Amino acid sequence: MAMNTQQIQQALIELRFTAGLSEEDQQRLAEIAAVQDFPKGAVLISEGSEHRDLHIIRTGRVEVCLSIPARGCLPVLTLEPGDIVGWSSILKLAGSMATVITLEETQTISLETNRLRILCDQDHDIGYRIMERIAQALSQRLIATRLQMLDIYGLELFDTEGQDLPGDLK
Amino acid sequence: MNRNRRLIIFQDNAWVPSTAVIRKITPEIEGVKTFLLELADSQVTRAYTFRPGQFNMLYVPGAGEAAISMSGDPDSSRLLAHTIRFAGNVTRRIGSLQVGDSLGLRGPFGTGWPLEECAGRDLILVAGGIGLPPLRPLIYHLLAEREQYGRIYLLYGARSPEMRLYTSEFQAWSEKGLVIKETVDRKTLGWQGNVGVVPLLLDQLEAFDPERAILMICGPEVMMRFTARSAMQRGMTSEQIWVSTERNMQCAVGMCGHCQLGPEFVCKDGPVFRYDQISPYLLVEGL
Repeated sequence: MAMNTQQIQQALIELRFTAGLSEEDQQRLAEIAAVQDFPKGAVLISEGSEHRDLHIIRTGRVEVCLSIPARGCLPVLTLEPGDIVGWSSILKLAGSMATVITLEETQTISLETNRLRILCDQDHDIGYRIMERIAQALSQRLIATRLQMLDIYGLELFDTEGQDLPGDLK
Repeated sequence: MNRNRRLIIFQDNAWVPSTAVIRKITPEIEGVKTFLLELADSQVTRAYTFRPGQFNMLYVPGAGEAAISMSGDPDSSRLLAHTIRFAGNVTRRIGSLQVGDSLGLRGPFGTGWPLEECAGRDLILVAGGIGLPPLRPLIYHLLAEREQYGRIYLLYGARSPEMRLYTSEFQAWSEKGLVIKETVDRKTLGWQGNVGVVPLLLDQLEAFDPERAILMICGPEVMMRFTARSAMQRGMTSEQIWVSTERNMQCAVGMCGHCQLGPEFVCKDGPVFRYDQISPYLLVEGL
């Protein structure tokens, strides 16, 4: 669905990643943004490939997968409206960190990262605010990854019956 | 703080267990079953009431007692539901019992979920793994008087799809106005839901009013800490967050001290605490 700049700006106001930015910031982002629609099962990003957009999910859901030899692409995270996809491009990392596949029809507001980087370089204030939001999003994922690594549901963390626990948890 | 610390004892002596007979056993997931218990004394049965969030002490002669949360409907308590994970000596012995066998029961003990705070507000219930049973009585209660509350969410995380509890009830709960969002740490074949830990579901939740919402969490303590942290990042305060804690509860009446957590006894001051009351002690090593 084609959207004009004003409609994109309105969408940015409603999305968690960009909500709370000033009207001027949102307008400047809307000017370099586009709407992209993806069918269910579409590959937004392939692990290791170069990609040029930072996506903010507007509708739908996507799955982040990592390729494991002989096991395929294993899903590690589901992202929903307001979440960002493609952060590695804005950080100038060589190639994407994961494969991202849509789980249903998905619409994103995409920001072409070369233009976004130029905007951030030209105006460090908006650059700071954008990078702060990216850092917040990545910190949430870092914490989530740590919790997944702990396997918190698989452990007896407390000795609720007054008995010895296996291993070194006690 | 307006806390209901009422302790309802259906016998004169809180130390004396009543006899309860196992009427039904429902296997839930690997290592977890739900036991429906009927108190043998009909007079005691008639007097018995509990608040969502409270627990009973279940006693197996020769093995000891274990604190088990109530997991059934508080408005229909002739048969008392307890969903039990077989993790220690007592619970493993309970797991070996059959329909018709009897055990001892004392209770109910502890505080419940803050029902008096919930009216007119958006409610977010967050459960991780075996943390759903203590929230199920609350779900039954809220859905029975659904019109009194704003939006009600259940955010449920489990290790894998096959480790989710009570899934056969989810559709009925949804039809009654509970919005359920699920996630698993590890996807298996056929799973269409989310992958990731449960605090992320709260990060992603769009339609709720952080200033007026009440968050109630039950699950592994590390999960509860990070869920509370997510909620506070969304603008909620620690006074709007309630957690159900777990410790080694032996006496259930604040006498033995096994469950002491800072100045609180989890058995009688909890297990449900407001987060600002308990959070300073959750990071103290050894408590």
